[in-house]
Amino acid sequence: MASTTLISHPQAVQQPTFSIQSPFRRTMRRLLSHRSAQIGLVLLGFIFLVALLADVISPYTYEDQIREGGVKPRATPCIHALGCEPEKPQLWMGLDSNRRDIFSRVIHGSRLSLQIGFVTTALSLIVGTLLGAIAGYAGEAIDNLIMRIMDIFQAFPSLLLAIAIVTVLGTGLINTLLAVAIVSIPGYARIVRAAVMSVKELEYINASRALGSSPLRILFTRLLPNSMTPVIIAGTLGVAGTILEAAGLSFLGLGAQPPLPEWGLMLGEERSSVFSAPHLLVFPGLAIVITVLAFNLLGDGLRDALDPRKKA
Amino acid sequence: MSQFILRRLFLLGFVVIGILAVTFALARLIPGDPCTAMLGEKATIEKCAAFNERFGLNDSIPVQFVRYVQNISRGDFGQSIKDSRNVTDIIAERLPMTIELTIFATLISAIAGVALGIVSSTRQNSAIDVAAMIFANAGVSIPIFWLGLMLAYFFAITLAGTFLQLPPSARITPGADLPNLLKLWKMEDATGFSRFGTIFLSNSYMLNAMLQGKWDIVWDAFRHLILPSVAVATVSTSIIARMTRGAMLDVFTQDYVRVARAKGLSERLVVMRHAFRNALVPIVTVIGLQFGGLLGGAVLTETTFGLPGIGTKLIDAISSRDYPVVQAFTVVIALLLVLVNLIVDVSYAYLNPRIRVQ
Repeated sequence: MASTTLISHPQAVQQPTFSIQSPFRRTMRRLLSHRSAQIGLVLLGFIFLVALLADVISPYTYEDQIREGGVKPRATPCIHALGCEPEKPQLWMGLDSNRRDIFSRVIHGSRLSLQIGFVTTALSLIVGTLLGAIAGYAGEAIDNLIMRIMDIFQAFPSLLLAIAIVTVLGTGLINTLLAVAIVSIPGYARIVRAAVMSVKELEYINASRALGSSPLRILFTRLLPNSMTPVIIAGTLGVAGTILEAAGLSFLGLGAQPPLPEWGLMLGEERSSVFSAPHLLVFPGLAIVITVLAFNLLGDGLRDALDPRKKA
Repeated sequence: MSQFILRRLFLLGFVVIGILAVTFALARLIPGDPCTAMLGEKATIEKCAAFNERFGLNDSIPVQFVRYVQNISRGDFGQSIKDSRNVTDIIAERLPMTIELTIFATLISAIAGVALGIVSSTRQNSAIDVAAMIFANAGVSIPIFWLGLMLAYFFAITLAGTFLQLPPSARITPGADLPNLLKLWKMEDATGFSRFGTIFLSNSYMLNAMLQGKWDIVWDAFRHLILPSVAVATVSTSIIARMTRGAMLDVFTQDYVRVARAKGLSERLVVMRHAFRNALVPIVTVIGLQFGGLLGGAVLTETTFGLPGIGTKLIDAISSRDYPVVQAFTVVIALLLVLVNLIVDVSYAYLNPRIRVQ
């Protein structure tokens, strides 16, 4: 399409509209015009707002036990606007087995899940990037050593390895974070290594070396900044993955411990009520889906926006 | 080709030793000494001395590691602390459930994923394509343990009484008459591989029922497997669908596809013979890569549906600090995964000759 335009309208070459923008602005423009990125960003904005204003939005704390109006544990949702008796307290999502307001717990859970997602991803991203960069830049024996260790870690199903690590460290939220982070390191190391190896061959690296830059300087100021694109994409998708994985561990009872309002834990605690009181399980699950979906959509959008082969 | 397989086997040796080293190290990294960790409150100084002597914990670490490898290569995973049974027996009892679930989920995700991907790619940007890709995006974002619970409620409660009603838990209807093969064949005293094989076969309920000609139980076991398999398969189905769509769209731009169309071949023939065959390498790769995730998913889903597989036993063993069981299950699953990856590697070297020479 582009080539035919060039041939039939040579003057088109005179208007290089795309070169005026900085790469950052070009990427942002592409990202903001990308459908799934738009949806992802809106959802993320919503979730961040909820997390930020959790104390304002939620009528109770996540530990309050509600007894007013004679409500019973596992009470179904009671919304005044929909005809629920006004003497009963308004319960958007009902009560759990311990008389706690599920709405308030789901709202507060957003803070935990975002923290889990970001802290875990940051941790594994930093370690993985360093290992991958060293492996890719050093090459030979060091490369082999690092990558074979990564191979061994990847030989385990990630959830299983995380479970094994939690067994050693002991259950709890922090240990779960560590386990999920350790498990995600090889993926990032692999991506960064591949990127560094391809950038390493470019001429400006040679130029930098000829100017007398130290290997560390080349690594941190030349190689890494130019290898960041795949890392940003993988990191965004990684947040989604770690939130899911941490929720899974909490569901199994190995992660966050009661009374924390972690969504996976809420599902695990109430899973036996699925047939008698399904509303206890619907909302925490939906919260996980929306949050994870938001990061996945944004990641997809980033991948398309940062891919130079795709013209916006 | 044989050289390729040999090289893969050589690398495999390192990975296997690595897996054993990691699991060995994990057991040694458990805080506190193994004796108090395992015996708990019962640990007295005399008991610990006897314990250390019995398990050879006074030897040096390399000696212990070599013994650990030797034991595993003989199929000896030690004894469960909780109920003093051979861990190997427990593996033979629990593994079939997990494997059944994983195989069914693999089949579902491969068939549904490839079909969805092909349909989307042939009708790019149509309503079907958009719907399929929305499904694919949602599929990777749903926690499968939650999806399992929702499916269980929907098919067991909402659809109760209709022909679509499906059982939400257990492997077969309680009380179904499916004798244990170990007893049926009077092999209670068997040891070694025949014992492992018989227990394994006995707990592969569908195979067991087929062997005994009880087709109603085969059907019953199959119905019990549907919901868990669908839950486990969701993530992989989405990934495979997206991958298939991408690979097909790539191939559609190739000259030989245009030639095939120009020759006047039917669209069906172009899609299935010219495009799909050539898109198969990345598709097979991604199907193979799903296996690890499916195994992990099986662990979660077993808990959701109350199925007696590796996953439920693992969680049970962790809470009762039954470390030999945890260690053994981790080794077995990792080795299983390595084996599957080897099969995938060899099969796509077979599909794509270029990989062999690299």
